[in-house]
Amino acid sequence: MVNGKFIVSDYFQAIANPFMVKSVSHMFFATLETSLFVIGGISAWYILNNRQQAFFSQSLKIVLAAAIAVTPLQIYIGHLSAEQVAHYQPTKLAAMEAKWETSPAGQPADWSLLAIPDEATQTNKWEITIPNGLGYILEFKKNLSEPVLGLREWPSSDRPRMVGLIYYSFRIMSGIGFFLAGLMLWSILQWLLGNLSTEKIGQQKWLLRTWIFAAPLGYIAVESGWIVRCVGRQPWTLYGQIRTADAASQLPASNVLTSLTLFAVVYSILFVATLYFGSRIIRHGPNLELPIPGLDNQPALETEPATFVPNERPLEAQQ
Amino acid sequence: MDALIHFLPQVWFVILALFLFLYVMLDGFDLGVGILSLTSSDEERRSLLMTSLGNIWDANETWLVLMGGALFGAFPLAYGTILSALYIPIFMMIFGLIFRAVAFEFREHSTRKLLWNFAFGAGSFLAALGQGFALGSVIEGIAVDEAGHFIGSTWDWLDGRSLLVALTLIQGYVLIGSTYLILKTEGDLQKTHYRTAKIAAITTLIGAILITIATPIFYQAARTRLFSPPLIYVFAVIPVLGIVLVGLLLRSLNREEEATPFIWTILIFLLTFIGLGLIVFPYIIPTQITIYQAAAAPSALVFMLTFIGVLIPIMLFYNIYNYVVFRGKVINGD
Repeated sequence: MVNGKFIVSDYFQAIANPFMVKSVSHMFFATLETSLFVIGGISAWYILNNRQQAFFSQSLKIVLAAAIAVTPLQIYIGHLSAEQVAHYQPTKLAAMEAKWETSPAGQPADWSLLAIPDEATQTNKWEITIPNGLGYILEFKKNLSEPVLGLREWPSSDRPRMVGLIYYSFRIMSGIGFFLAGLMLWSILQWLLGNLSTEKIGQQKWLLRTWIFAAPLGYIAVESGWIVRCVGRQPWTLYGQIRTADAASQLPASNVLTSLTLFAVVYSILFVATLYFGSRIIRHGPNLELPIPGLDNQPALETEPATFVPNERPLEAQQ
Repeated sequence: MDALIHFLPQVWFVILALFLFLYVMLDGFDLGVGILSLTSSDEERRSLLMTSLGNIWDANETWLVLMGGALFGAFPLAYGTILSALYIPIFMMIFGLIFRAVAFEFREHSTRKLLWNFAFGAGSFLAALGQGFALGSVIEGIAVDEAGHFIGSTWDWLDGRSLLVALTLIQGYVLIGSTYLILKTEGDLQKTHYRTAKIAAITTLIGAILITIATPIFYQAARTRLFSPPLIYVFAVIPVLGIVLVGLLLRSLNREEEATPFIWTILIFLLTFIGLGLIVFPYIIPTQITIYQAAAAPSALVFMLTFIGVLIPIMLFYNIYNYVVFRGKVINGD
């Protein structure tokens, strides 16, 4: 720190900070997992609607094969990230777990499954806990080897607000992570039982419906994860060094509010437009007769020419 | 070490200028074609215009991203001050670019193309307008305190001179867009753009003359610098060369040559750019903050240089390769 300004002294150190490897891989696998389940969900929709089942049961199986590796790995990397948060940003961990009281080392501690955090009284108004759960979750053993600090250890100006938001965002994110891993296991089981063959896959109605349901979950998990990361690190921009309020630019608040509102409006419109065009492309279906580039006009897959008749049932009935 | 403190910011100033020039030249004709699409007489022509950009516009815009990153890394003080002062013009540009970019994707899939045609044309216009205002007010100068922080008000960027610069820049974009279309199209469409190129060449010239006259009058620091040696010789040559180039451009347009109008226009852009660069140097926020004051620590500049040194040749290569692959006329495939 020089003359009241933060100057980066060593860029390699700044980039290779302890969060880098695990955070980057967590985000990287999150994008992989999101797109895998989007592809899987779209494939399941086609199979459920009896369209191009041969093609889409193949694509679903490719997604599934990748998900075998990606879903458990993502949960494990997530666990490593949480360990890091516990070590470097204890206020964030305390908020993620809505933990007000410190649990000393060498003892077991309860893990809160659901709670209503109340910032005024610095307690949880109501909660369901799993006895001795925290030690197992953090360290895979009953007793904590290091104390886990509660939010009351810090003055309220040095710890994040909106504990409930962080607490539930974390639960939504990790819940989705486990749900997708569970869906992967269920599908693998059916695959091993031979129920995913082109002839039989159409009978797996509930499995396919769950895949469709899972398609947007990756996005929700990514957004919740960012809420945990960025709301959880408040009030700091550089943890323990510089506060967000001090790091903000001197622009009038009205300017920033205007541009933020505009962004929200524009992106909402574009979101709707994307969904509209995306669903139209999906309903239209793939053109399997396009030549593969480089090969001389061979169809990509030997199928009957597209004889599909547009689905004329109302949109609600097509799900 | 002392030499390094001067040398490194100068290197970065040149790199930034290179990025800015490549961006203005490449995205310049993108935006120009976008603005011209507002005047297209039918849907088929508009499709041809957009197809002529389809494969290259996003590669062109990477230079803007790179420029933002380089300014932030190399001259953090200037980045903070300029972006605060030009908040509204920069958001005009960003929203313009957003609408333009999605129009490429959505127009193709939509059955009612009117909305996306408008998003494309108006977005291009808005982006060019924002860039023009930003350029105009940076040249004019930005109100800063001793530490170099912005102390002006939100609407400082808007006045007659920045409006003049913005309108001239739009004319310039339309000119380079027209000459690009002359190169890429044929038949009636090409004829139309010989006409738009001629009109734009004249309006750009008028704007440039007005700016050249106005700058020394309004801009005290430029006057003393411009009218003393050695710069006076350079600035005596630039307007003369400029008029010669515009003359060559008009001649090539009258002869209906295909490639040369585009080349002359690029040279006109380059000449203007060198002129502006010489007026601004060594300031990054003219007459207030020099590049030496605004520069990041030498270690940071060296660090970034190692990355940029690798990145620039790669980017130039794929940009050029892109143009080689998609060379030739755009024709109607139906």
